[in-house]
Amino acid sequence: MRVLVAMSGGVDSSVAAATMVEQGHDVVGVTLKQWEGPEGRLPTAGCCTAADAEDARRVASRLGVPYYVLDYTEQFGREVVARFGEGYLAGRTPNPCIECNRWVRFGALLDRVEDLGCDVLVTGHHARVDHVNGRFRLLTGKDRAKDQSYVLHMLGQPELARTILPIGEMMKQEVRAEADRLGLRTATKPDSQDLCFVQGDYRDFLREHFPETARPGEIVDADGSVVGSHDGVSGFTVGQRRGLGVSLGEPRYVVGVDASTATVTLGRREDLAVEGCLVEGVTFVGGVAPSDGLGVEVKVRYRSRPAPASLHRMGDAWQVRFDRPQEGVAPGQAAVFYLGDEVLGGGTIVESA
Amino acid sequence: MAANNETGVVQPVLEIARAIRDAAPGVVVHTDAVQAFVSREVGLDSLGVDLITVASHKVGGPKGVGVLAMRPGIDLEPVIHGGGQELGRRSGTHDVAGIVGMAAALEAAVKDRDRLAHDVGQARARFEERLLADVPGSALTAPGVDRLVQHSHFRIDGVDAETLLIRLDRAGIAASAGSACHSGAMEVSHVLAAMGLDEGAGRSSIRFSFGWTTRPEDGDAAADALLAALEGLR
Repeated sequence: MRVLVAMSGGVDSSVAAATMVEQGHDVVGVTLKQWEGPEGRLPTAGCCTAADAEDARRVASRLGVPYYVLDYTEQFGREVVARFGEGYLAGRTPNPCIECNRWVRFGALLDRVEDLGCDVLVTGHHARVDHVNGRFRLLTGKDRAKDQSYVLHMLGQPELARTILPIGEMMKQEVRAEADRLGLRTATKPDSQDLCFVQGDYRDFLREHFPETARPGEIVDADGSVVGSHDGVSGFTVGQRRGLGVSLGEPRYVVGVDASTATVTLGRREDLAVEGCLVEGVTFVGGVAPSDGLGVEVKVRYRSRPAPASLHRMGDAWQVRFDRPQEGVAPGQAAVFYLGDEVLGGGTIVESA
Repeated sequence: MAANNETGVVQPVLEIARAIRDAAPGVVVHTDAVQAFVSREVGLDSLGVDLITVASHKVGGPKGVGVLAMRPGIDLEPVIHGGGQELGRRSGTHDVAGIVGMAAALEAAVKDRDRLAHDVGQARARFEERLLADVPGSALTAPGVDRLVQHSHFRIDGVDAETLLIRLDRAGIAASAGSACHSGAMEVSHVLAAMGLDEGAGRSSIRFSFGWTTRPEDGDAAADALLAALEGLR
């Protein structure tokens, strides 16, 4: 098979490329240039830097496969960074990695796989794809601590049919051991943590690129009393405890963010728990909606534990009802539905209730 | 530039230099003839300039060495100070091997220049004839003007140059579009933007370059490779 491997310059995608070479496939490596700072400066921290491209290039060279850098700055700016800013402007907590996968990696890049002379796209995500009874399934990665299926929940049958995720079958330490065995320079490279296009604090990024987010407002307690002020709701997300800038003698959490009035509402821990949430833009991996009331497990953040819940159709949207109230359900994040280790689908949380 | 490094369009350096001197006598005029001297004669008098730069590697000589030809009596502030080598113009120990290698390459190139201009001119003519006849939506970037023979710069409407370059590369043809940024990604050419091409046209533009090993029939092979790379694209 001819495979196009998206290489970030990290260890996972390096080993993904190496695995495809070892399996005898005809491999082409690419790195997506996604972002550049003002005056064409490249990010120097995070991923997607010139140094990461150089790492990817040298891994490709060691593997003896052709390698190219593709310019996706226009699509990334439009589909990922602009949505990131719009989300915060609307008082939500967006997840740009999901939009990048949806629009850039498994959108624009996947659409180009054949034009680039390949049959399938390979990435280094910790998730698995299998094919059962004529259907592709998206599954959690073998290494549950590194599982990235949450940010891939939007993939459907057409995408999964042209996608291979070799890293999903490996534990992270196996990935590093394999990189070490093959002498890849990325073997001990630290995992990327932050948003690839943001250096430092995302709030500074928002102030620079979306100055409208710096709109001051009030911080009110659950009883409505004003307890402080802030210089932009983008610094707050539901469930947040640290950095509130107020001291009330006992712990307070953000329970609500209203961009229209620039108001941040605080509450006690017990005020944080919600019975459910409304989810829009829902897609299902199998392409078919499940029966109403189906019992599933739901992740409401990348790093949250799956919570038992049931799914209820509400017109075009879906209502998630948690079996037990859940904390930190933030509009803008994705709600992803699981049946065991299988991803059923998911969408974007628009409100919690 | 005596000729543009992307499009190969020959600039009216003689007229420009004359106009400058008419407006401001005493101005020192320099031209970068790195592209031009590969396929045609360049000289201080024929171009009407005071300084000319050429580079060794453009004619197969070693990289990292070049020539700055200058009229006597021009006083230049050196970029590198120190031991006063090269009449104080460029301090530092001479790269003798590089200089001798360059001299040999320049001598050979000048001797071979008419032959190169003929063969490469033929190759490009054959390539462009096929391009314009067989590729719908293709157009030369600078038709009907004086161009160096070794460049063929064109666009193909609706074709993404980045994708086409990769397909050509996979077929063993190294072509170019715009310039590469630090990460290695292609960037839309500032030259094309300055010529008034919009971004879409810029992203469909590509350059084939021919050199001293090119024979007339290579133009046909280049056209064949391009047509094959375009198969199934768009």
